[in-house]
This record gives sequence, structure tokens and C-alpha cells, in this order.
Amino acid sequence: MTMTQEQAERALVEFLVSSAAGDVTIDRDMDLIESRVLSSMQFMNFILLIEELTENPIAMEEMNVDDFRTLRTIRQRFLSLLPDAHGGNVGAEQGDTHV
Amino acid sequence: MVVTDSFADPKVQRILDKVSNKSIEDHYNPYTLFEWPETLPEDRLWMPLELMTIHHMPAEKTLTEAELIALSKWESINFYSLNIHGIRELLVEVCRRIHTNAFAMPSEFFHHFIEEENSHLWIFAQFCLRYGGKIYPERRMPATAREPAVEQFMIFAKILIFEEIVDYYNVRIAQDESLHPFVREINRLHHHDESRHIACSRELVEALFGHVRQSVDASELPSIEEYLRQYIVACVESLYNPSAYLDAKLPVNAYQLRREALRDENRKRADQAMLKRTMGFFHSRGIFSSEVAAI
Repeated sequence: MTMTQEQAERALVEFLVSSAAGDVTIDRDMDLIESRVLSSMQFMNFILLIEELTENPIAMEEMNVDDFRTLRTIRQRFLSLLPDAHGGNVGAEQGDTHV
Repeated sequence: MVVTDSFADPKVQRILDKVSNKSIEDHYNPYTLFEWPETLPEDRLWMPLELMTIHHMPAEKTLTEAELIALSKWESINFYSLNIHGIRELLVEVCRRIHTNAFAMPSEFFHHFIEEENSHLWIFAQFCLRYGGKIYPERRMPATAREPAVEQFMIFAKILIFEEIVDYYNVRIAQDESLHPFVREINRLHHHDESRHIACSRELVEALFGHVRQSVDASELPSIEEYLRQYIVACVESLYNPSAYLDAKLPVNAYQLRREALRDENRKRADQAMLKRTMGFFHSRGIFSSEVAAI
């Protein structure tokens, strides 16, 4: 069953929170790499989760670390393939709230 | 203290000299060494069942023989792809250091190491492209910079961990008489070269850890251990590639199967067995506080 962008984003946040060392609050512009919320060791599992949620393989050779730096970028880059909560693929900016 | 002092022990020099001489004696041309078969049979396993990521899991019993064979093919392509990425990374790091003052002593060994690893790189890439039509991409993030002594140690510790995991596979694939002779032969060759590289890597890692102990506060050592332990987990997890499950066309959700496999107690025991020698080494040298991997 195809997810909405919001559902997929929630699943990514749950993954990041559950794999973080301590309590963490994540907003869309938080630098996931710099803050170490997304560690190099969890990176592969995070990529696989995005692939599973979007049902699309990620072409790693075309990526760089900045593509995964914030939830906003991830949403624009990968989750915009999914329908939003209103049923369209209108990009990442709708429903832009803290997660 | 400079890193060169890490290799002051004459035992390290003796082992590196011995291994370098053996490399010269055993020199081969990778481009002419093998008769590459046009195709590999699709009706027999490409790797031993005991090395496959579904072995001893409930899923293993639900798959047909054809599905198991297909999975053995794509898990082989994944294994050789991981070799390619690991070798490329270690070549970059060794090339970066080969003519620095800090690594003047192992420089001669590094020349042989680079040549042999480049041969392996070519052989594994040929295998993946000829028989799988692809090399699975790596899903890795570049590491962040650290204190130089720690960085040097981490790089060679990671090289050693990678070599030891790969060698566990090479030995078992080379010994399995049910596999195609060509598959066994390239794994035998890799084991032959890697056993020398592992001997040297162990000496380098031990020496570099001595330098780390003198360079950083003892309170930092647990975080170094933790990083390497996480690296080991990441290496093991990379063997469980849902892309291989998808390519084998298994009648299951590939991502779900991966999660189940990584949680499976029998798989954990199999992976602990694979890591036993590596964990034993890091524990015996005081780098790890226990021999049990956190998988």
C-alpha cells in the first residue's frame, strides 16, 4: 500500500528518534548529520527505509551527503514521489509543520 | 611522538619484509590467470547454503530449490560487490599514506598490497559484471574527521575487520566441493593473498593502537571501541541486502525479510561465529573489552 508523504516522514522520524542515543526532538531544518542524529553506522538502514517507504531504489552514485542532511531536503528529494495527505504530488512544502 | 614510532618493534619490520618477499615470489597476472567461463550454471548454488543470510531461518524452508539457487547467485553478487567497495576504500586510504613519513616503514609492503588489492578489485568487478550485469551500490556515508592518531588506527582497524569477514567467506567457498570450480578458485586465490594481508594488518593495528593509547586520554578509548563495534555491525548488516532478495524474486517482502533476518537468533549465532576470530583478536590486544559482538 502506498504511503502518503506525511506517513513516510513520520516513519523516518520514528526511526531517527529510536536510533538516537538520547531524547531528541527533530524539526524539518535540523542538520541530521551535524547533530549526529543520523550516524554513519545507521545510514544504510535509513536509506533502505526510504527505499521501502517510497518503493523506489535510491541511485546512490547520484547522491551526496547533503541530500540527507535535513528532513526538508529528504522530503523534497525522495518523499515528493508519494501522494501528499490531500492526494496529490505537489512537493514537500504543504503541511509544513514540526514533526 | 610521530606515528613512525608506532612501528619501532623489529617484529613488525620482519613480518612486513617476509610478506613482501612472498608477494614477489607469488606474483601473478590477474588478467591472464583465469579462463573465465562464458556463463555460470543457474541450476546449482553459487555459495554454500551456510553462508546465505536466510540459512536456519523459517524463510529458508518456504523457498523452492530454484529460489534458493537464485538467492545464492544474487547474494554472491552482493558479497563480491561489498568486496569491491571495501577494496576501493582501503586502496584510497593506503595510497594517501604510502609515501608519508609516518608510514615510511610499511611503504614497501604497501606497494605489494596495492598491486594485489587492485588485482582483486578487477577480478571481483569482472565477476559481478559478467555474471550479474551489475555491481550493487554501497549505501555508506563518509566518516567525519578525527584526531590523527585515532584516524590512522581506525582506518587500519576497519581494513582488518573487512579483510577478516571476507576471508571467512573465501575459505568456506573455496572448500565447498559442490560449487563451480571457477567460483572456488577465485575465492581460493583471494584467501591466499588475504591471509598475508591479514597478518600484516594485525601488526599495523596493534602498533597503531599503541600510538593511540599514548596520544589520547584513556577516557576516549571506550568511544573508539564503540565506533569499531558499530562498524562491525554495519558490515554484517550490509551482507543482508534486500536488493539481492528482490533480484532473486523471492515471494516475500524483501525489506521485511531483512528485518526478520537481522532479528533472528540463529542468524545472530551464525554471525557471531563469523566474527569470532576478529573479536578474539581485538579483545586479546586490549582494543575491545569483550569478545562478544553487539549484533
